[in-house]
Order: sequence, then C-alpha cells, then structure tokens
Amino acid sequence: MNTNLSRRDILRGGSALLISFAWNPIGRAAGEPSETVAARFAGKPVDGTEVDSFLAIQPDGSATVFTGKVDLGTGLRIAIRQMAADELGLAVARVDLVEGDTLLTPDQGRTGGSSGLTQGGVGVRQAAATAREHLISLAADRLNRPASELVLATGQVRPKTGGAGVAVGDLIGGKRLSRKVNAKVELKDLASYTMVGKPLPRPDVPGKCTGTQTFVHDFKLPGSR
Amino acid sequence: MGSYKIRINGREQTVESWDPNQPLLYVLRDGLGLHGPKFGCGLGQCGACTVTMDGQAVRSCLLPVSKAAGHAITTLEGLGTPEKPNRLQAAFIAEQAAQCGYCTNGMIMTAQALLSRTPKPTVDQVKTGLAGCLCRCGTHTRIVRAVLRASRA
Repeated sequence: MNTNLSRRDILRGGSALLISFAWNPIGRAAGEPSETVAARFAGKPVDGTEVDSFLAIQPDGSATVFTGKVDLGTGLRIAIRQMAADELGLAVARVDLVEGDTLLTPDQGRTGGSSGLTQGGVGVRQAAATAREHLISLAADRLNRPASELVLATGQVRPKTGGAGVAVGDLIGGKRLSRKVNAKVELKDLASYTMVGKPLPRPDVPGKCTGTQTFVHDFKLPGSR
Repeated sequence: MGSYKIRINGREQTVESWDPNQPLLYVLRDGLGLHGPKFGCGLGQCGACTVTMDGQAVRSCLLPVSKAAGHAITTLEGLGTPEKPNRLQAAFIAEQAAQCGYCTNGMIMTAQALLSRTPKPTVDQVKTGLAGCLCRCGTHTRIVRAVLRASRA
C-alpha cells in the first residue's frame, strides 16, 4: 500500500466521508466532493477565537458554518444550521455546514455527553452573532445611519423602519470577517427565533433508510483490502 | 472457488466464494458493495444484517452463501432510493425513525417481511415482529410509528 497518501487522498478514496449528504447545498454544487469544498476553503483559520473559523459568507449572501462537533445521528447537522441561521437572519437552506474536518473546522472538543449543541452550537452562535454585529456596523457606514437603527434579516442589513438595505453578500461576501469571536456578544432574543425550535428533517435520515449513507466501515482506503 | 447464482435485488448474479459456508453478508458487503446490511454482532442476535430471502427476513450474517443459491435476495438498496424510497423507507424518513442508523436496515427489512405477511399489524404485532432487532439509540417508538404509517400507506 502506498504510504505517502495525503489525508485528502484518503477522503477521496473514501468517497466523501466528510460530507456525504446533498441537501440544499450552498456554496457548493450538489454532491460536490469533500476535497473540492476543502480546496475552496483551504488555509482558512481554525483557531476557535476567530469568527472566520466558524463562518464564511459567500458573495451571494449564503453562509457556510464550520463546526468541530460531529453528528452521530443526534441531529446537530441541522440544529447548528438553524442556530446560525437565526443569528444571521438567513433561511436555513442558505446555511451550509462542514462538520468535523480538522483542516477546516475549529477544535470544539469531543462530541458526546450532550455537548454538541450546548458547547458546539453555542460557539457557532457566538461567532454568528459577532458576525451580525460586524455586518451591521459595515452597513451603518455604507448607509450612513447609526447601527442601532439597522437590523439584519433575510440576507440584508436594512433600517428597522424600512427602506433600502444592503445585501450581506455585498458587504462581506467572499471576504474574511477578520474579527475575534466576542463571547459576550448579544445573542438574538429567544422570542425572536424563527428557525430554532422547528423540527426540521435531518439530512442524514434518507441515506440511512436506503443504504446509501457511508458509515466508517463502508469505505476502503486506497490499496487496502 | 465455488460460484453461486443468486437473484439479488431483482438481478440474476453469479457470485464467487472461497467457502460455501461464507456468510451471505460478506458477499453482499465486500463482493457486491451493498452496504445496506450491516455487520452487527455476527451471531444472528442483533438483526442489523437482515435481508429478505424469497420475502422472508433472514440473518445474512448466519446464512451461508451456498444456501442462498437459487433464491431471491432483497437488500435495503433493493427497496428504494433516497429519491424514490418504497413506502416503508418513506415512512421511516417521515417519522425520522433513525438516529445513528445502524439498526435501520434490520428494522426496515424485518418490517418489510412482516407487512407482506400481516399488511395491517397492530402495535403489539409490530413490537413482537421487530423484537429481534436491537436499537441502542432508543428510536423504538418512532420505528413502531413508521411501520404503522407504512401499513396505512
């Protein structure tokens, strides 16, 4: 067996161990293999203090969320997207997720003991809320209005009282946010959640019910027997 | 090397095996790349490897490949696809009746055989029918609901 395999070679041989689900893929083509997603985000920060470690915003205003927690069937694959979507004022379908890739995702510790959402999800939420504050301040400059008069919703920062806004993609799309995660950032008020609390279908269930989900023992490394 | 003619998911196939006693599961998973059936206990005790043979649920980890020759085997892949699931798979998806998904194959394949014998099972008949399939995540109530949903579909 060739021992000079890169990790990406192994993932390629594993036919998308990393992301084996094609659900409303944002920022990636349907069924785009993990290695091309990885190539696109290569070199991104993974340090847990950086917003960019948790979040990327595409020019079209959609977002990709990165979490070090992995979904073992407990549903964080959809739940973390819901949490980020609420903080960012985006529809869940506009939020993509990359989970558990040490080259791309921040180290959020082990997955287990109900820590997926309580720690992993909260980390993502703080990063998303920090991003929201930053986007609103960028828009405040652009619109020449105080940040307190602006709101981020449906992919736009716009005046609370109505009127023209700025699309998130136009503010930051494709660029890094370059902010530290503010652990004390003001999170969205519970009462204003529109996505969290809705029982959305898990993206992994159809594959599990049809024999198409790739489990760890279902793939072979190149050259293995 | 023995070769065996088996009808698998509607297709006549000739499979080869070094041992007539090789479990059908190994032939399906390793030889044919059918990963629906799972290796759980390897002792016929957990149900994760279940396939149907001529419509009956069987444990493919115990069934020698030679005993499958001349029969019709259906695996989870043979029932439907994510785009076109059969009614049981659709009901499991609708009820979100999977957590880790390891037992799901056995639950669906066993229920498939159950519904072919008993198209309108009671709750107790579903529970008894699936009693040989172990789920460690604790998805049982959703699984029972899914089988009942499929029976009404």
